[in-house]
Amino acid sequence: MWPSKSQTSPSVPVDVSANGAESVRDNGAAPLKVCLVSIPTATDFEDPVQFESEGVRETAADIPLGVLALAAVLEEIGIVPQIVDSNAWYIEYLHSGARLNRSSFSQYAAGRLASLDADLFGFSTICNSYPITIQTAGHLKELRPSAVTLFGGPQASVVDLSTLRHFPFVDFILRGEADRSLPELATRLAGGLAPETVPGITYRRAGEARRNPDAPLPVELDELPLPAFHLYPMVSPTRTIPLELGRGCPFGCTFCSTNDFFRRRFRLKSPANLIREMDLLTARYAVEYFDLMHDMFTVDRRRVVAFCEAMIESGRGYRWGCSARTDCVDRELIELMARAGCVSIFFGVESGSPRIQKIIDKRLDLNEARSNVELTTRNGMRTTVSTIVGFPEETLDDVKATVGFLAESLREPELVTQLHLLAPLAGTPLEVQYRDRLVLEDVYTDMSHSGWVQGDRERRLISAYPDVFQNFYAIPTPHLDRRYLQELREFILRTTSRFRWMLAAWQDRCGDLLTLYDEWRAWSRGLVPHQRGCDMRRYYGMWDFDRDFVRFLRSRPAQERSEFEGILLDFDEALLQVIREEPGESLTANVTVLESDVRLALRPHVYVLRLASDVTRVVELLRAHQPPDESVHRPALVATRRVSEDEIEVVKISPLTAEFLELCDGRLTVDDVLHRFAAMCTPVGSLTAWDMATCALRMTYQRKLIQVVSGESDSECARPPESYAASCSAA
Amino acid sequence: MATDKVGKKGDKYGVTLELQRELTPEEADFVAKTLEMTASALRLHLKDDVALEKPNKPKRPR
Repeated sequence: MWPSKSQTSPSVPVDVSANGAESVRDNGAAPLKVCLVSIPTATDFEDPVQFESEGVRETAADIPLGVLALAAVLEEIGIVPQIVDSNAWYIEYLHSGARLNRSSFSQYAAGRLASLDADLFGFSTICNSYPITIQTAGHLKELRPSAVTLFGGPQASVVDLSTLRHFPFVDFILRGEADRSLPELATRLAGGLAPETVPGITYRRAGEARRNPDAPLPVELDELPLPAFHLYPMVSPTRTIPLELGRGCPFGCTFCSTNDFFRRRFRLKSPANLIREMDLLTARYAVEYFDLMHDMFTVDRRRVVAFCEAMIESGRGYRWGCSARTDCVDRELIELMARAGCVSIFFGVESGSPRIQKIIDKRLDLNEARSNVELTTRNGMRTTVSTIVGFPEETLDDVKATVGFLAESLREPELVTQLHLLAPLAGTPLEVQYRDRLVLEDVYTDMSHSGWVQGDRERRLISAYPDVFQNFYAIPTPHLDRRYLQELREFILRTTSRFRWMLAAWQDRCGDLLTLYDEWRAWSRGLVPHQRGCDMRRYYGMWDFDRDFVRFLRSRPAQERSEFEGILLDFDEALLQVIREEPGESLTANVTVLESDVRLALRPHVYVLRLASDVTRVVELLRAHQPPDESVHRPALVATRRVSEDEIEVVKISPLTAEFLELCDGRLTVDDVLHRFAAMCTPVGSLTAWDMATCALRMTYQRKLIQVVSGESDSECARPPESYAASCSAA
Repeated sequence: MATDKVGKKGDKYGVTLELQRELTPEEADFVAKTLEMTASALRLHLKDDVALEKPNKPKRPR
């Protein structure tokens, strides 16, 4: 279906000259029934292993703010739309035992959509899932020829004419912000009127795709209703809710598509309205964190200050995150934002090369960027720094500068680094400039292929319509091998999170992280699956890479290793060893205990490591830009602790704490552990050995190093807790 | 007599500590030093999530 321009759907498109709008009503009195379909984002992940990961589950649980905002404006005119959560359907599709396949999912989704009682189906669109959306709409139109298909969102807005020209089953496209144009379109369709006067619409007339002038922008965002969270079943219970802070970025970076969508007009909700919305949502849902959406929140300093001061004055203590430019914040503003509850911030730095900064019209001062990134992390904000490689003018020196920028940032432990391979997003200045030179190749960018590989069907679709699916193409990089860049991206992502301090130590010693990548690449030739992006990504995401990377580091000449690198390598090897011996979650599986026994065990991913050198001291010195001293050579005991599903913290512990943890083997009862540990302790003054034992129990539990377990894993009844005398309430 | 529980609400099993007296500040200091548990900035990622970082999205706080 739709592999080439010669094959078209048999469905009849809505053509305003043929008064196609009539088809939305069975009779003149029936109200318009609308279904809004959220963007499928979980469909980016086909691999079952990836799909079970926290990152993908988070993606699948993202609340479709744009769709809910449009649902709210429809409600204002008396239309209560059905909301389809594409990600939830994708999960159900996977759990139905169906073969993992994006194309067949579009058939599945169309089948379910066709069974809904709706006249108008509105699809939200973005670039990477546009092939799925197109295919779903096509299948739907085959099943329900009289239904009206409407596209909106960032991708359809810029490829509107080409979409209507090539895909007759797409009836209308509403470009840009549709808060006013969607209700107007719905009203006209419900009244049996042709929609050609609706501003911002792209439609067909006599078979020709036509574009109306843009709709006026909603200037006063406070006049827009709260998004219809109540129509979205997945909202409750949730801890994170996205909320629109404002719209519009006035900058004109050449690679960016969103500034055009909001037409570069900066707007911000009033602080009072935003706090009111946060109050409403907090009362309704157990919100712990607001993901405040704005392309460039910090552009207007005066209004950001007003917002932060209002947040502080409200005393609500809401926690929130936002996006910003490093040249639109300063020390005073960062400190104010932190006091106002900002705990997370995203900076698009894009390139560490001053030359590329100018070429892409970003023009950040990189010294200022470094300084402000450090300030945000030091003010407790979890900071994300995003960079891009693969610009057409880029040379290896530019890439080296970008990787160097990331490497210098690694000393901030709360900093998250991102490195993306450039994708020519439709309608951006870069895409327009290189439109006639785009190439279709198999070096996929993560921007368009987060976790999937093009199948033959999608490949044919993408290759037949380059003016619809630009982001799946590549801008040639005459000075760089894109495969080299693609693998660099995977290498940097994995190593900066898993071997962060090793990279910092390498950067300290030789000042060029790219040499580490080059050496690794030469050593690992034959190990890394180079076939396609997804396979390579899986290798770099798994333990196989960690194991090979440690082997590679060990294979390098010892004399080329700094003291820091040597100690960190010893630690990584020790950790790999215990993790390999990890018995998994079934710590109690082979243990027979008396029915009344309650035992102590280490929590999953808690390991006690006895190290010849002090790896935690190495990290302290690296953070402080200090050289090694004798303190790093002292033996050290550490326990690893799981702080989230995928993140482990390393805790320095005393020898006595290590003894306690080693007693918590899942076999000894609480009583045994306490008595055996007390036997190791020496009373000090009025502090008895038993006091020390109960303190150790409480402290290791509070630190989330141990858990209380029993052999009766299937018991549904909680047993009354065992009781012990203690005198440690102040510990 | 005051009690403290090891085992949070919802856990199947727990241990109750009957608190007989408060530690003195000196004792508390001694316990903290003897049973040291200091978090390091050293953190490790275990799973295949790093490849899935989404652009334009601040990482959610833990």
